[in-house]
Amino acid sequence: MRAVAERDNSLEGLAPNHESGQESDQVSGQQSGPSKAEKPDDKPDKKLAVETGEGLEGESEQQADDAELVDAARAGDQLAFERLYRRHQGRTMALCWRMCGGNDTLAAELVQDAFVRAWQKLHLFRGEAKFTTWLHRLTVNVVLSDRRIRMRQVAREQPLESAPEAGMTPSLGLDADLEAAIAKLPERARTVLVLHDVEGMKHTEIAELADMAVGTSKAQLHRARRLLREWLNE
Amino acid sequence: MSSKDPNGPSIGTEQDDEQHAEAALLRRLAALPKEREVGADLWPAIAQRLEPVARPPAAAPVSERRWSLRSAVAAMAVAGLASMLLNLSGESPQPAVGGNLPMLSASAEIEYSGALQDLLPLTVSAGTPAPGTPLADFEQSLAIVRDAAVAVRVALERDPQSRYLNSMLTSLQHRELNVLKEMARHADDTIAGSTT
Repeated sequence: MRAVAERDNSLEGLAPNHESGQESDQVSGQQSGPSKAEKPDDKPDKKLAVETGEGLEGESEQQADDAELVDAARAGDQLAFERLYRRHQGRTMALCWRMCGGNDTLAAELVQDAFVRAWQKLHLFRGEAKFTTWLHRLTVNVVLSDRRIRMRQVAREQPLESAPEAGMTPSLGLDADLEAAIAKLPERARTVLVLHDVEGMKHTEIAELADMAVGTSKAQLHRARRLLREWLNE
Repeated sequence: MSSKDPNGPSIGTEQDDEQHAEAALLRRLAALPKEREVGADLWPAIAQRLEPVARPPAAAPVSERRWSLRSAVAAMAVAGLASMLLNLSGESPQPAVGGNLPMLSASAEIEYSGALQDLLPLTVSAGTPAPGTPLADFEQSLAIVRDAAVAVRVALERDPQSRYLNSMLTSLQHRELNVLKEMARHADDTIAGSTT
């Protein structure tokens, strides 16, 4: 059993802002306003919402339902929390599975950890953002914390360069080639690519969650996309 | 997926090709499924790791001295039942398989009925609550929980082995007893307030 409470929890109280549309990727020293070349990186979430056909009406209904369930769960109602789990398990699983390189077993453990952590931290959810957004950020945090722990363990046992990517399972999605290529990416590049291009997060959020500079996040994304194009063209 | 021409494209065409390849890649990434089926049901393992949430201070009794013996006994009954229910819904020493579930549920029902008998007399003394009062809210909560429990029982008659339905019923019973406990506390505080 994983010790969830021991993990880094610095981000749970934060209200995510990538849905408010107010965030920019500006940080001190960064260029103000996106250049033409950066444009595809800056608005992935809206594009995703359109392409995946997520209806706004259904979404707001679910948001209202989520709010009721969250209130009940905060008061200790495990049945309400179970409903939240059933509702969000698929998306949480997809995120964990991709972030950990297609390892089903590890992804399942991380999903459990994420929901246990969500239960523990539910009182910190202020309701300013959607529950899904909050849960998503919390899940990313759980995955990255787990990775840091594993990296430290691996570093003690053997050099990182020779660390095997154990337990990787072939992807079974519709775009199996692409899923397999994503799983093959180096961890940091994969993290940024999944969070930015699949999950629709901004570089500033990714940088904050993954404890890296915004410029590093952009560089990792560029690297990930280049590697994917190379591998998929072979 | 690439539209790259292997027969020596010009520089401008190469840039176009790269942009097209990048755009195609982004489309494929955006089209990846946002959900993934979870192989096994992870909820039982998660539920075992969930610790009870502490009630907010507002729900605490006004004064320890006002806590009557009757309510204390009722609280102990609820605590005992809660502990037993947790054992049932969690990993029991002998895992429930197949036909064991109804038997376990029957024993839970007996405990539940016992706790109800302890608690109900403490709550009926308040009489019919006026609308908008805390007691009316309690009554409304009770009605909701009991309606849900009735629905679950109906479903259980069709599928008595369902671990999910049994877990739901257990949770609802737990919730009903919690509401009753709060009602008893409230009635106690009201009585104590009127006598001081």
